[in-house]
Amino acid sequence: MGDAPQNLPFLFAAFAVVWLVFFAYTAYVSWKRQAIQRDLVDFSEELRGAPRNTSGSGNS
Amino acid sequence: MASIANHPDSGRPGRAAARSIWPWLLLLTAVLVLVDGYLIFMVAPTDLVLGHIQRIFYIHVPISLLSFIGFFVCAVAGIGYLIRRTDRWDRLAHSAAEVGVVFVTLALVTGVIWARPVWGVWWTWEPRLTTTLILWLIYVAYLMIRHYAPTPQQGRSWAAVVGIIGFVDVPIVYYSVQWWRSIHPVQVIGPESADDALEPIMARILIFSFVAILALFVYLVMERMALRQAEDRLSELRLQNSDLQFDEPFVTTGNLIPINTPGDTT
Repeated sequence: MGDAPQNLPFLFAAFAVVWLVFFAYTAYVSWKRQAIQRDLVDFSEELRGAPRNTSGSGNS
Repeated sequence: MASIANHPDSGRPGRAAARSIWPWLLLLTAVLVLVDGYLIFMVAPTDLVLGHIQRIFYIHVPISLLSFIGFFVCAVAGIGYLIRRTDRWDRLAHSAAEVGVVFVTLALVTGVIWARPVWGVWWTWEPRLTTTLILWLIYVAYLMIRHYAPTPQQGRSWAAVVGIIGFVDVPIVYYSVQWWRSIHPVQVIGPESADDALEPIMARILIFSFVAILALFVYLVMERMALRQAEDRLSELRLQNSDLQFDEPFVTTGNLIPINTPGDTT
């Protein structure tokens, strides 16, 4: 097992990459879902006070 | 006027129950992953030939298998979408494909890191690696088709077809080490694995790793489906209320929300 310690940086790199990517992806999806939930609430509140457009053209 | 409260999806008890188990699933996943780390580094024996680097195996194999499962779910949900044309199938296909791409990317990266000290090269065009790279390209194309199609409706249909056809590559990846001359190790799990391919303690730790990463996989697919549902609901609200006048243009926090075309009502 004399050469085993030489491979430890590779072992560390593999586990670090895997758990960093999993953590980053989980955080990203969770953050984005919460942001869109907030947008839904904001948009719903906007709808309550917005008058209908009588000119026939939609707004952006 | 449409609102969140009266949306048909908002009051379903099944969805509320599903969301209430998320924190517990995440907690369970965290505990399983911590125990898995302990087993991999403290309990698993060191391989006599490869040394410590062999411990990558305990995450590389489950991640690879779960990417296959992700693409299988994507293909089945794609068939469901083409038959039923309902959003639920499409959300499942999209979420499983995206999580599958994350997993297959990590399978490639961990494989490359393992190959360097063992084979002496970062990459070689041997059958298992090449077919896995092709699998990655197919499902990256799947995600790009969804994003760049002229209309969301076309994107969903085209992506479903790509997801179904792309799955053909999964058994090719699995059997590639038998069909062609390869330096990649043969299967240690699945229908073609030998009974004595692993020491019993190694096999048990591998199964535990699979369960731990499976819990994470399920959590990620559920979370991604919830994100897609929220995106769909917001774009539906915007479409239904496109004739309203606002004091200020409504700018969303997430700027990648697709705006449905008038013909897209699914």
